[in-house]
Amino acid sequence: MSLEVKDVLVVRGSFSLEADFSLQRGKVLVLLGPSGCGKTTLLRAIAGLEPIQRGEIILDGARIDTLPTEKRHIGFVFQDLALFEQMRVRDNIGYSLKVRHEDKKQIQEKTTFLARRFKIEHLLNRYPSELSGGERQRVAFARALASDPALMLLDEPLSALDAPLRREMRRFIRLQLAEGHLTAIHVTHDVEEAVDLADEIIVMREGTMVGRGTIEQLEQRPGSGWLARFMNLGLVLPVTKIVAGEASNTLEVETSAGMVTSVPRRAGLETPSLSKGKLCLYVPLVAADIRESHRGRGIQARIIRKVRSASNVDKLVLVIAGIENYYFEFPLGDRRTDIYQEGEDVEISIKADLCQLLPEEPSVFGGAGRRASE
Amino acid sequence: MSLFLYIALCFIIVFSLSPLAAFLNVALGHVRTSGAAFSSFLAQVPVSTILRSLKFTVLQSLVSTALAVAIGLPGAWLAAKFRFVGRKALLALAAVPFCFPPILVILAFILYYGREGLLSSIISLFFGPRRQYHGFLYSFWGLTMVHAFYNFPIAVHQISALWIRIPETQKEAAKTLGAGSLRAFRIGTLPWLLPGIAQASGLIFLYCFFSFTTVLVFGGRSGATIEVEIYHALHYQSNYALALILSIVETLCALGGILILTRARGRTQRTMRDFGRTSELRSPKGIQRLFIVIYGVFIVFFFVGPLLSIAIEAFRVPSPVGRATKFGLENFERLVKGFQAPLLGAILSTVRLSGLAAAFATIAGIIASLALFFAERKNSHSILPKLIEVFQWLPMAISSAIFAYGWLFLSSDRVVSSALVAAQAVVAWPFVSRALYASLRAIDPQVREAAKTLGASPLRAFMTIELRAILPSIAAAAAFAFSITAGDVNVPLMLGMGEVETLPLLLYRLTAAYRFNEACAAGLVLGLMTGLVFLLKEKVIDVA
Repeated sequence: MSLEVKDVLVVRGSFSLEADFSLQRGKVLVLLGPSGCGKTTLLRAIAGLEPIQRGEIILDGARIDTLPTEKRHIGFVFQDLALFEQMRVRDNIGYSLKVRHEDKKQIQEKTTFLARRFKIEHLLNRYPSELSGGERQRVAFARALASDPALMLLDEPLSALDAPLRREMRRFIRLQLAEGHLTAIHVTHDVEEAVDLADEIIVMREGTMVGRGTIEQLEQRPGSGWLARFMNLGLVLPVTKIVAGEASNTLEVETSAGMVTSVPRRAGLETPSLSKGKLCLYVPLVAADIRESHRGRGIQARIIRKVRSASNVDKLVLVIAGIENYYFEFPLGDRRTDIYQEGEDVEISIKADLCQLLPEEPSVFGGAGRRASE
Repeated sequence: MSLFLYIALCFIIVFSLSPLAAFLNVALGHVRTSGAAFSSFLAQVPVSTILRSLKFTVLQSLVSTALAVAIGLPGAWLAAKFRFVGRKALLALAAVPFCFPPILVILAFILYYGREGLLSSIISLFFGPRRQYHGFLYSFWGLTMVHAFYNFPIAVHQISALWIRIPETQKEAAKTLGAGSLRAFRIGTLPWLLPGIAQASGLIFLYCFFSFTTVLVFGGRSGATIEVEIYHALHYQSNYALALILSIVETLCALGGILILTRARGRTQRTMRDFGRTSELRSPKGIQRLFIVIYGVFIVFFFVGPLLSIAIEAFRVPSPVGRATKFGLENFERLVKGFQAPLLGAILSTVRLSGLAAAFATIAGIIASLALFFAERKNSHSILPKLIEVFQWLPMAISSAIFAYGWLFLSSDRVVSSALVAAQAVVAWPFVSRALYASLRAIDPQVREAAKTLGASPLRAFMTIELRAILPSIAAAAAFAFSITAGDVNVPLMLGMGEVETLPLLLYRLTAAYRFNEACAAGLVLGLMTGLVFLLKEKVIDVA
C-alpha cells in the first residue's frame, strides 16, 4: 500500500472535511466533485499545507501527517502552477535537488534528463513568463518530479488550458504517470477528465466522500441519485410512490415521469421507504433505449438538442416529461442518428431488472464505499 | 526569526514614540515642575489661533484637492482609455510630487507665475506692460493653484490605474438595455470609479493638509496652516504648549482623513483585484483627438512650463537692463567658487545626512514590513498587525516638526544633524515599510507552498523565494526613502539653518534672498539628484 488516509478530519471555519481511503502504489486516483466540495483541501491536507484535526496519513508505511510539508517527499502541481517567476526554467526544475544539497553535476544531469523527457530542453534558459501555457505545465510537472516523490498530487493543473491543449496535456500526464509507475492523486471537477485519467475515482460532495470505485463500479452502483446525475451515469427519475410488487422479490415504483415499473429488491437490503427521504429510480445507460414516441409505457421525452461531435460520439439532450430542470444526455452509440430531430418527442424504454432504487441524497460511500485495496 | 523580528519591532516602536514622549515632557514640563495649575498651561494656547489655522488648513486643503482632482480627472480618463503620444509622459508626471521637493516646485512657480515670471511676460504682450500684472501666487487662490498643480498627477495616476481595469461590459450591458451614455456610465462605471477618486482625493487632501513650505512661502498674506503655526510657535515663540495643542488638533483631523483614505483604498484594491486585467487602449478619433491636444497643451503650458523654467533660469545669467540675455554656467560657478561656495557643502551634507536617514529608514522599514507580514500570516486577527499598521501611519498623522523637536530634545547636546537624521528616518520608514509589505503581499502564497512541497524549509523557502522576489523592491524603497529625505525641507527648516545646510535649505535661502538664478542652479542639482534616484527606483520596479 502506498498511501493510507485514515479517518482524517479537516476543519476550516464552518467547513469540515472527512476522508478515509487508501491507494495502491502506481495507481492514479481522481478526486472528483463540484466546486467547494473539499477536493483541494484534502489534497493540501495530504501535502501538509492544511492542518488536520484528526486522523493519520501514512505514505509507504511511514506516518507523514506529523511531518512538515518539506519532509513528506511529495510532488505537488498547483492549479496556477506556482512557478518561480524570478528563476529560469532550469532553476525551477532543479530547485528541489538544490535544497536537498545534491551536487551540481547531479542537478544538471537530472534537470537535462527531465527537460528531455518533457520536451522542454530548449526552454531551460528561459523565464516562466516567456513560456506558453502548455510549456508552463510541462515545467511544473518536471519540477514536481525532479526529486522522485513518493506521491504526486495534482490540483486541477489543466483548468486554465483551452480544450485542445487540455486534451493533449491529459494524455501527456497519463503517459508520464504510467511510464514512471507513479502514485498520484488528481483533482478535477470534469467527469470526462476523471474518466480519462483515473484508475479509481472518489466522488466528493460537501466535505464527504460519497462514491468510490472505477467508472464501471460507479456505473453499476452509484449509491445515490445525486452521484448518478452528477456523472451522467444514467437516467435518474424521482420516485413518487412505492408498493410491494406481485412477486415477493419486486417493488412497484411510480416516478415523476408517470411510469410504473417493477424493480427487483436487492438482496440483503431492507425495503426502501419514502418516509426515510427522497428516493429515485436509477436507470443505467445500458438499461435504457430510445425509440419514436408511441405514447406507450415508456418514459416520454423530447429532444431539445442533438449534439454531434467531431469524434462521432453523438448524443441527444432530452427533457423528461413531468421533471423540471433535468437535462438527460443520452449517448446514441451505434444507433442511427439521422432519424432523430430536435423538437421531436421520443420514448425511452427501460430494462426494469437492471434499474435500482437509490436514495436521492448520497451517504458517505453510499454505494461503492469500499477501500481500493479491497 | 520571529522573536528577533518582534524585538527589532519593539525598537522601532520606541524609536517612533520616544521623540513624541520627549516633546511631551518638555511641553508639559513647566506645569509639572512648578506645580502651576493646568490653566496656566492653557493660557499659553490662544484658541483663536487654533481655530483660525484649523479653518484655513481645512479650507485650503479642500479647495486644493477639488482643483487637483478637477485637473487630473480628464487626464485619468484619457490615460485609461486612449493610446496617444505623451500618454506615458502624462503618467510619469505622477513622480513629480515624490521626486521633486516642494521647494523646487515653489521656485518653479515663482519663476513662471510670479510678477517677473514668464507668464507675466506673455500676459504683458496682450494686456500691456508687465507692471500691471500683480501675479496671484501670494494669495489663497495662488496657494491652492500651486497645490493643485503639484498634486494633480497623483489623481491622474491613481484614478487611471483603476479606470483602466474597469471593464466596459457593464456599461455596454446598460446601453443594450436602453440606457443613454451618461446613465450607462453612472451605472456601469461610476460605482467602481468613485472609491478610486476618493482614494486619490484623500491622499491629496492629506498632502495639502500637512503642506508646510508652500504655505510658508505663498500663504503669508492669506493665512497659515496648522503646520506653519506649529513652526511659528516652535521657532519664533518657543511656545511648546501651543505647538502641542496644534499638533494634537492636526493629528485628530489627519486620523479622520487617514480613516477615509484607508477605507477608499481597501475598496479600490478589491476592485482592482476583482477586475484584474487592464483593458485594451484604443486610438482616439475626431473630437477625442482634439481633446487630447487641448489637455496636452494645458498641462505643458501650466505645469511642465514652470518646471522647464528652472532649467532655463539655471543657465540664464542675469544681465543689466538693456543688455542681451546670456546663457552660461556662471550661476553654478558662483555657487561653487563664490563667497562661501555653498553648493558642494550642501550636496555633501545632503548625501551624508539623507543617506544615513534613508539607510535607517530602510532597515526599520524592512523589519517592520517583515514583522507585519509574518504576524498577519500567523494570525491576521491578532493585535500585532493592527499595531504595526497604526505605527505606519504615524508620520502621516503627526507633524514632522514635533518629531524634529522631539529628537532635538532627546540629543544630549542638542546636535542638529543627529536630530535631523533621526527625525527624517522616522518620517521615511513607513514609506519603505508600506512599499515592502505591498511587495510581500503581492507574492502568490502558493509559490511559497510550492517551495515547501519541493523540500525547502520555511526559512529556506523565505530566503530563496520571497526575499529574492522583493530584493528589487528593497532597493527601490531605499531609493524612495533617499528621495524623500534628500528633498525634505520641513525638518531642516524646523531645526534651524545655522548648523547644517542641506540642498533644500540652500535652495530656500537663495529663493528668500531673491537670488533666483542661483537658486535654480542649486534646484537643478537637487532635482537631478532626487529625480535620478526616483527614476532608478521606477526602473527597478519595472524589472521586478
